[in-house]
Amino acid sequence: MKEWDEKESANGMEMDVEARLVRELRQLDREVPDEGSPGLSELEGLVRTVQARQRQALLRDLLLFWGVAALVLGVVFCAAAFALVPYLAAQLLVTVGAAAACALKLASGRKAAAHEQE
Amino acid sequence: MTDSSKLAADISMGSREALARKGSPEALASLLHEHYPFLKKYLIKLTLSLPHAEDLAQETAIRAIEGIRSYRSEAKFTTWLLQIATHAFLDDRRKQDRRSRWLRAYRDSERLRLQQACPGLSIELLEALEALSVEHRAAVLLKHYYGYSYEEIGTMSGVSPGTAKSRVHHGLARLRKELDAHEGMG
Repeated sequence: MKEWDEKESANGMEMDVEARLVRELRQLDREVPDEGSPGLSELEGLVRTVQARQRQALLRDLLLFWGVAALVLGVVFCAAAFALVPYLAAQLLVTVGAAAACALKLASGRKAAAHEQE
Repeated sequence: MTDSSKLAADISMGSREALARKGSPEALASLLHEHYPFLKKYLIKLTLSLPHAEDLAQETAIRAIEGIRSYRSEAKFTTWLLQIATHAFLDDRRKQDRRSRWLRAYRDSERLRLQQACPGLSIELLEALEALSVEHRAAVLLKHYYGYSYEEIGTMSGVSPGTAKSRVHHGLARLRKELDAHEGMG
């Protein structure tokens, strides 16, 4: 019975805190004026400025991507044109290396799955 | 009458949200204008400072403009805006905590100014709210003042619903303890 009373009193106190919180914060909502907010035209200006900045950043990233891609392709074409044998050897090495890495990864995955089943 | 105010008068909320998602500056400005006071008042309760709430409201508006394409109409625009504001507040406070102690003194003076601006708000409640961690304060406000569910609070704060529930529970318990301590002193 005592335990039940304590529980009831704790619940009652929690309700009091909630009620006080809500009451005073509602008062705050009423007392804070809305006038300080920016006007429609100011917000429209802000939206246009942020959108323009985003477009510029996107364009810069795109140009950077194309620049790096053109550089890599240029190097590859130069290598293929002026030193065909080393170029082909490098291609072969990269392909074999990638295949070996894939095979190793696959094998380790299977091993882990078998270990889990055990 | 500006383009945005004409737009607000002419079309419904849902169509404005759709237009804003497509990148219409007028529709987005009109939505932000309509919700700005609500957003600012939420941030005042979180930060307990008028100028800080103003700064964060602007930061939230910029983040909302940048991320409008990620807004999905399943959630209310206000819920989405409060989510951005909560993240902006938590990010800002984490940065602030790494800085010097004078910021704490500044926060104390801002709290006093807020109480002077809103006499209906007691200094005890403001101090009790300030004593909560920022995560607990946000969770208690979103649950008990704005009436959001634990799932929504979790989404807004970037945690699971269980964590949100625990934050609300512990936040409210701490708030009660702080208020009791103030009453004991009184």
